[in-house]
Amino acid sequence: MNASSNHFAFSNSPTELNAYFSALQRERARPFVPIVIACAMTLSLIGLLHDTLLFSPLSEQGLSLRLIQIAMLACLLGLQFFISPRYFQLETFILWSVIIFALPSSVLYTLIMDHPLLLTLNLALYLCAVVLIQLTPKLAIQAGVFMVIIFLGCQLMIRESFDLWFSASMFLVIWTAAAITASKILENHNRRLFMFERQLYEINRVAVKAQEDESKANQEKSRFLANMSHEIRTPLTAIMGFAESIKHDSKSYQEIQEAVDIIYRNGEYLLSLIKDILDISKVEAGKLNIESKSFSLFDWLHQIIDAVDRLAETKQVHFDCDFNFPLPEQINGDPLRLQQVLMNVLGNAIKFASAGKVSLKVSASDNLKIIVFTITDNGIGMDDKTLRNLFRPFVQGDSSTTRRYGGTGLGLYISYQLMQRMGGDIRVQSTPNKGSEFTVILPMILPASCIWLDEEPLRRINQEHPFNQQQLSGRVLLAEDQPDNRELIKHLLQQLGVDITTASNGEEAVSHALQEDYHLILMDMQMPVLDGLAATKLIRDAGCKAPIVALTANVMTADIERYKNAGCVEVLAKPIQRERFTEIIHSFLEPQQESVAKQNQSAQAFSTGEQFNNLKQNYYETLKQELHQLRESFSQEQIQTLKKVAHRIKGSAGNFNLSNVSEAAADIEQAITNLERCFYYSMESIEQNIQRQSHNEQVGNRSELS
Amino acid sequence: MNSANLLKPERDVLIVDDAFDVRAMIKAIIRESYNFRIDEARDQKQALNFINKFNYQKIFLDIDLGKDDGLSILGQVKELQPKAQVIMISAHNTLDNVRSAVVKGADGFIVKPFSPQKIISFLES
Repeated sequence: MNASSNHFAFSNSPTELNAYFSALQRERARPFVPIVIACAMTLSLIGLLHDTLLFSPLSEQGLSLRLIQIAMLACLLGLQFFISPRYFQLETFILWSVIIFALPSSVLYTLIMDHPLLLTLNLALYLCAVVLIQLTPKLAIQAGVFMVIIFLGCQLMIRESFDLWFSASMFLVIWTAAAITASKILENHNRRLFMFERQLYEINRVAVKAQEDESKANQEKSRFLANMSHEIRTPLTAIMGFAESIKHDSKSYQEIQEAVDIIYRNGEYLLSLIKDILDISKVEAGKLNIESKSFSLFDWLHQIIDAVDRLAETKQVHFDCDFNFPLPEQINGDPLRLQQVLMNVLGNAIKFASAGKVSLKVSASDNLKIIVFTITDNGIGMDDKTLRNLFRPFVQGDSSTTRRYGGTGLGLYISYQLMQRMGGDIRVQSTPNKGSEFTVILPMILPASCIWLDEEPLRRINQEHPFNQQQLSGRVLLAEDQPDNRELIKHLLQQLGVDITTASNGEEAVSHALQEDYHLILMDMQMPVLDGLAATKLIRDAGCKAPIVALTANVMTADIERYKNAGCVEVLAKPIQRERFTEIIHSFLEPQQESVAKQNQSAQAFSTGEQFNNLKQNYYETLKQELHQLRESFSQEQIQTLKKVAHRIKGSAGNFNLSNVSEAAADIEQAITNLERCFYYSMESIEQNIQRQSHNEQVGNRSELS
Repeated sequence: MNSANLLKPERDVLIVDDAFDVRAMIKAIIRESYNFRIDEARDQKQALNFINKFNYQKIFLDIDLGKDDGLSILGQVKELQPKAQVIMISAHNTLDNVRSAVVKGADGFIVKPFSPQKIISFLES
């Protein structure tokens, strides 16, 4: 381990950095310590030898003691060089060296009552060692304490030299303390410097990374904008092109109809594209509100499964679903957004499954904290490159895929962002030409008292059959900020078959009211941004005469007066009572005309149920006859009849969820139209060419003659 | 002033908007249901020209007239055409615009993009 900047790569936590710093210091010390101690011991040895040799009038005892000491020191010296401190923990090694060195020396010297010079030498060496052990002040303290105890203990044995010993010990203590303090201060400075260096490096690194991230993000944004511009221009080109073509050339009614269809289709596509883009910008600005409310898991699933069933049927894809129990009865979350995500993934699966199979599996994780939706298909699959770009906007396989399969290329990106915002995730695995598996994960937030189901509950018989209520017609604007109330009233109005626009605050309500002509406005009186009363006044001031009905929980006489003065024609009390509500709506809206009623019946309500199935059976019969006629007219080369029948099938098959049939019939019709067009143009060209040729020949003849 | 007004010939509708398409659209919407005499003005100068020459029943006045501002001539228009209903049109639906238009005497306010019914509803009254 060396103190290079590579080691700045690990953690920033203070404790770890401190430990690293201490380790760094120890490592720096390692080479020096044995040398220092060796020098100390060598010098002592020399001193002893010198003493032994010079001061000859010594007792026998003194000499032997001295020799023992010399021997010990020589051993220790050897240890220094031959046993590397690597094998011992550095601090312990130093500690014991110092003690072993100091202890016998002082005891022996004391006993021998030696020349003070030698003792001073030992002391001096000890002091140097102490200074050098500034690398580990803790150790210096330990060693110093030991030394002091030893010396103080020794001097107790020699009362005569008490003063000398005592002052020497005191000097020792002071020196040790000074050395320790100095070393502590030095170490602190070093430590702080180290920390600053580290911080600086970290800040630098973060700044560089932020800059890189930002430039990458900017690049992504530019690319996104460029893509978006392209995606928007493409349908616009079709719209403008076909609109222009209708204007300029003389076209048959048929051609005009087709052009209008194309214009409308592209317009719808543009609308869904813009809605998606708005969703994305909301998500990125953090303005997307994810609701959290409790809803029935299976009611919600049944709705989705019904919609997917219908879709799968039109694309001739087999769809099944499987539930892994136990599953909760109710969960908390945003049912609308979650539905958006699931429908997106399921829709993709069906789109890309050609004539295959799609399955949905719902299960809870083992710890019952996560709910997992697994969607598997056996479609075209995706390679690694596609998988990497899957959740990024506007990258849908390749652009030819977008054209063939439809869609905006933004669905998965939005779904991914939505799941992230909900604390969940979307993952995908895929094999080209084999299929794909999408996993949608949602953390389960369960209501306080949660019931767990072991089997699929029976489907709730939904709302009352819309046919039971008399249908009304008209446009209604509903302004209500509380989402549950809004949904409830919207639901009640939908059952009556009216056209509903919703607003969630007064400002939106005013906006809508000044743009559209409404037959009735339902205005909640307590709303944020702009409350109902102010909105009503403003709408009336702006010349809009639509009847406004106040929805409010305040129904004291004074309040009713206020609302009427502001321009409300009626006041409806909250909580909403069904009968009174229906009564009021009926008094402002008119019943639907028969034909309009039939048209307005939503395809969903109509396409389930016995009535529809009977009609479908009848249609299959009709279809058989039509197909017979198709074959007949083709074999008899009756082009116009062929075209007419194909046109009929095109128009009717779609109503019975046979859109593939409808498309195929449309192809036949289009082919005949193309043939007709080609015929007329070519005939014109032929005739022109003949004329020109004959004219040239005439001129040529004349010139020959003349 | 009033007597001068009585002498001016009668027309039905004046449309003031700097965008040709918008004027054409409003005109088409009106013509579909009514046989009104309709005039069109592109900017403040033209609008004031028309107002000084004729009497109108309805005036549709766009707020955003390029370098001119519909709100600023609203006062003049109301003064010169006391019998006319002046309806402001705007692409921005800030409530402040609505409020200041109402304060200055506008009889109505429409927000773009509007549905044809909105125009018709103002003609019926």
